[in-house]
Amino acid sequence: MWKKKLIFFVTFIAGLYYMLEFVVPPTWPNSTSTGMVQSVSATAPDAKTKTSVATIQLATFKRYQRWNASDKPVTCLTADGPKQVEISKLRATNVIDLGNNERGMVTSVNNAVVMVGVMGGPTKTIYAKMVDGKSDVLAFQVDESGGEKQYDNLQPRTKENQGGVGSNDLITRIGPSTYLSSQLENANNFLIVLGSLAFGYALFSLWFIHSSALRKRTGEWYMSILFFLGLVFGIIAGTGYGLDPNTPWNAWRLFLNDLVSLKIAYAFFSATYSILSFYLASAAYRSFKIKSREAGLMMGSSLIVMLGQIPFGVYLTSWLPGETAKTLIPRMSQWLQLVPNTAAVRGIWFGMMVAAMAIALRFWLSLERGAFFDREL
Amino acid sequence: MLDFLARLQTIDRRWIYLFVAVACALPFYVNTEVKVYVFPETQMFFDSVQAVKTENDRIAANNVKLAAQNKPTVREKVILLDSPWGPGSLAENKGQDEAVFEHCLRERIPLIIMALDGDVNAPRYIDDIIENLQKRCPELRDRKYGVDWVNLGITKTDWMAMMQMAKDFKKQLKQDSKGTSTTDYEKLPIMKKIDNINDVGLLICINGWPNENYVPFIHQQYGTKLAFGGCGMSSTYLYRFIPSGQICGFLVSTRAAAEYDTLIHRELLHDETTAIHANYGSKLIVPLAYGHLVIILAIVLGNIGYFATQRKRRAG
Amino acid sequence: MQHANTQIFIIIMAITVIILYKIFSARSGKKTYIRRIPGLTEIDEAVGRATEMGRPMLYHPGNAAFDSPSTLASMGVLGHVAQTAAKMGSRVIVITCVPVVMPVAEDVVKGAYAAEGKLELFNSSDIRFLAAQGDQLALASARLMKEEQTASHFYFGAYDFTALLFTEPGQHHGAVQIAGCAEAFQIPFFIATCDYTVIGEELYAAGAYLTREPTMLGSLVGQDYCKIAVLLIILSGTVAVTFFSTKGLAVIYGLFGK
Repeated sequence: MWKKKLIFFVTFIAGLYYMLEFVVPPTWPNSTSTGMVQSVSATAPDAKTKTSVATIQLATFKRYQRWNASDKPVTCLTADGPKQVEISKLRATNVIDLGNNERGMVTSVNNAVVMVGVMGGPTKTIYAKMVDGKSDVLAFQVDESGGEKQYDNLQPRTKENQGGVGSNDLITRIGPSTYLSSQLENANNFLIVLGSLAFGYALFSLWFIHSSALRKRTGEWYMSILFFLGLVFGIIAGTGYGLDPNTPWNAWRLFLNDLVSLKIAYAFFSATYSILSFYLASAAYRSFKIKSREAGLMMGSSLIVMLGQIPFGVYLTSWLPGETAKTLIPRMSQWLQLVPNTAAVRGIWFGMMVAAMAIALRFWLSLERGAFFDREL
Repeated sequence: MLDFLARLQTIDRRWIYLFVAVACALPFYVNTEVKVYVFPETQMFFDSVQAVKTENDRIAANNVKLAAQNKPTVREKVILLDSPWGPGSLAENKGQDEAVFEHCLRERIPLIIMALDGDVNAPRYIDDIIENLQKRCPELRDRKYGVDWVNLGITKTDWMAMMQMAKDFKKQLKQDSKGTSTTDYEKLPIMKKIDNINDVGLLICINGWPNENYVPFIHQQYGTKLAFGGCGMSSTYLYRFIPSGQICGFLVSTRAAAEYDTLIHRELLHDETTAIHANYGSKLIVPLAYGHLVIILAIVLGNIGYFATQRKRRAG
Repeated sequence: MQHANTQIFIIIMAITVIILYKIFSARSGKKTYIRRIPGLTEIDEAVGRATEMGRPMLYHPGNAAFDSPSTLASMGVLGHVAQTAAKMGSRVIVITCVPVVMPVAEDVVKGAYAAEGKLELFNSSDIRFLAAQGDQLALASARLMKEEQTASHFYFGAYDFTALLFTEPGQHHGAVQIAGCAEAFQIPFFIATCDYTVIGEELYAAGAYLTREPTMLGSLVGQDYCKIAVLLIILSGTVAVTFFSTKGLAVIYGLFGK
């Protein structure tokens, strides 16, 4: 019984990590903020540990407005006074008079869509611990060009420290954005090691099967000798990548690497997949019959899509008058893929993802019937 | 006559295999030229790559002003290309890779190449493509490894690697494919241009089935522009990202490689000839076309045989 | 979107609550109905055919590891196929290219044979790790079909581009083939080459359908309610954009020539 409880506990904790990481909105101090810097200060670094703490008062936006290039011009508050500016000419960090005693700041300009943050939101205080001048809090300054530049450090900006934080800077994405952001590197390294282990596991499985075939002389055991020879050859060839070709010892290993990866692998694996084209042709010939109206509709659309993929589809309609008509088949092919096909695929994916969520839920909460849950271990 | 037509339904599959083989092999011996129609998604892909060049030019001009004002300059954007494909999708992805490399090297757009969960030989294939490209195009021979492009090899593990790369690129990719540290700026000066996802002007994934996790983990989180290059089978499922604006360009199969090559010749080289270009995709477009025609013919013959059989059954 | 936000949290909590409510209400004895899924009802026929012919069956649980829900669903189907085979006294050969699937598949098949009291018919060498990649496994399986003269083939799980490499040789071999795949881009190939195909989420429903286990049935019903909710949200969004936005109204007025 305790084994079942242990498995349940481990499974639950693992699932809880993903739940916290991707489902539950992160709360302060891990949340992300966008706003204007009101003030910034930092403590002097500790002599021994070299840690210091930066405090940033951030004036956040109470809401966002979205403008398109086709909207009316707005009043921009420039150093020379208020000016009427076209939406398409606005730049990030421009301050806009929105009327009703409200002011906004342009936070981003993306493909003629302008996002404006309305000032007046709550002030946030961000504390960022720095070790030797580096903090795990990510902060980016938006400049006039709309580009984002990461701050070198979160110290106040001075003549000597131009990479620091200045007052009235527009900051986006301050703060780590997930609960385990600071452990991301460790978690990632763990998964890399696990992935490599899985690769080794495949190798061991093949080794085990072929060595037992050799020992017991079962079936075509001489093929297993080829496996071991190929394994040794592949390992030696694999060490040849990226070596200096001028050394004699390296030159032949480089040659072997080229032979295996560019000649043998290219030819063998692409030939294996090219069998698909022959199988596809025979499967299409055998089974694509117009047995019903729906099959006829499917056949028509598949012919249009297939002809659209090749130049002959254009040649078929090149005699028609008008530029649009000349490329009728590729256009129809693209419409079929972009409109009905997209709707169908999105629908299929919604259903599949809900089902996948249900399966994940059953496994996370150990509700799934399986090898471990309905018998004693 | 009806008997003959009914027999069209029972052609031995080996004849079909033979016709497909001949249709795909013949164009390599018989020189045929075709004019390709450039699909809008290929044009969008080309424009997105060119937009990075435009942005970099604007940053360079702005940096001159900033330097004059003693203000810190802004880094130019890079293109991050994830190219993990293996020989299985060689026919479709190699031409796409070659076309993108040619575009970036011609326009001197910094190109950082990696293979996320890639085939074990993916870095070797990338090196091979660029080597052949520089042999084919003498004007690209002055582009240097570590300055204009870098091959960072294989990395793992899917979405976690994406999250790590977005926050701190060099923590995820610590060395290039040959073991040089990515913080060794003497040997790899291009690595000074990227710290995190903000330095990426365009993220491209070229694979048999491009990694869809880039959409939620990179595009949705950071707003980075994303473009895919995939094989024909995956296109049906990835077209859905175009109307929603989640990807800003899509190369579909070998034909898109040929179309991209046409665009490079038309818009960069201003060479409007219809001669077959040397890009891998351009070479394969004709066999692809003939192969498609054989399959269409097989389907038509099968249906003629089917209808003839039905008629025979009704008559008899 | 920077990260999970309140809306995502509410949606996922709502889906979780609905599914859990249905699971626990099914467990408490409430009867649930699911429609007939043709591909799954024919599994018993296929097993019977192999038994009559005295030939083994072939089962392939897909090319993915257990990070894919399709592989998990496939294990459920494998358990049913193995149990039916044990009942009728025939052999199931399971082939895989994923090392981690092998011990689980062995455990599932052995458990099925043991449940029917036919443990002596179970042979661990019938669970075979033949290759490290899907395409190589397909070539190996074509060879296996010929050597072992398999009569029925089952393909349930996650497939990449290699689906046709498995099923076309089986079609020419003359075996009965039943396939189930959630990756919809491979389904056309299965439909063209297999006798019965379980499409998309029907694979996920397979476990519930075959075992009639209350947890799975309840989960299935809960999923359907969630899908209806998603559909209603999509419809209401479409109506809102069409009739209540400036652009939508302009399109409608344009249709009426205003």
